[in-house]
Amino acid sequence: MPSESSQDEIQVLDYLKQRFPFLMVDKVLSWEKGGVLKAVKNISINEPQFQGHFPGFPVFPGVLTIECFAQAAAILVRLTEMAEGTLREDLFDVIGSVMDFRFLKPLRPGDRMETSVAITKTMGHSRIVEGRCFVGDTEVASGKLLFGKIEKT
Amino acid sequence: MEATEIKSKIKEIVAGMFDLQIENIPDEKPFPQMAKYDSMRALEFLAKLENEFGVLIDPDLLQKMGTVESSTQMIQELMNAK
Repeated sequence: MPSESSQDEIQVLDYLKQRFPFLMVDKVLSWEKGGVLKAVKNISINEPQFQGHFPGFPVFPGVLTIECFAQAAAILVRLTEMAEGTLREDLFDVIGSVMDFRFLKPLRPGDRMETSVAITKTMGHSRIVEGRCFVGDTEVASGKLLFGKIEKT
Repeated sequence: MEATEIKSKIKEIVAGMFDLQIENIPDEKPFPQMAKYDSMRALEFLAKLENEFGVLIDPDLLQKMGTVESSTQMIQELMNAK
């Protein structure tokens, strides 16, 4: 586990359960315990969704922007639980609600999206994570996710 | 904001979250007795209250907000304290 406010590289595959072709975080840029995690996703024309979304006009689907946000949030939740000593490997993170999401600008192949997320509320194993997504200095999306846990069955 | 208006808005939130008719939501029925209520829904309820009423609610306060009636009182207190 990285130190609690460090630039030690956080290996995405160590903290996410998703795998190809559904990894939506390329790299964690920074994390502070109790604070913000910043992650990056490079959007490539080579990704399969662009075959159909849309032919001749590739636009990154909004639902996948939410997934990028959710995966950054999942890494943050896991790091937080490891730091708190509350991590339970028998439980699985799930999205309970997608709240107040706004899509401010379409994302296109070649864009480098940086997502900043922070936990704003915690109750038991449930958490609300808020965040914003940027390409350069331009905000492209923002919103909140409600995270909970289910048992792996 | 009057308590009756707060209560009405809270019932709208509860109705939306639990697929209930507003007229079927009692003032005093504890939320944990509602189907689908769990810690995730409790936190969602809190977030919706914050959005609706423009207040910040510590999750610890949810213990005192177990019904429509008690939630109405707490929201009124928080709004008056702003």
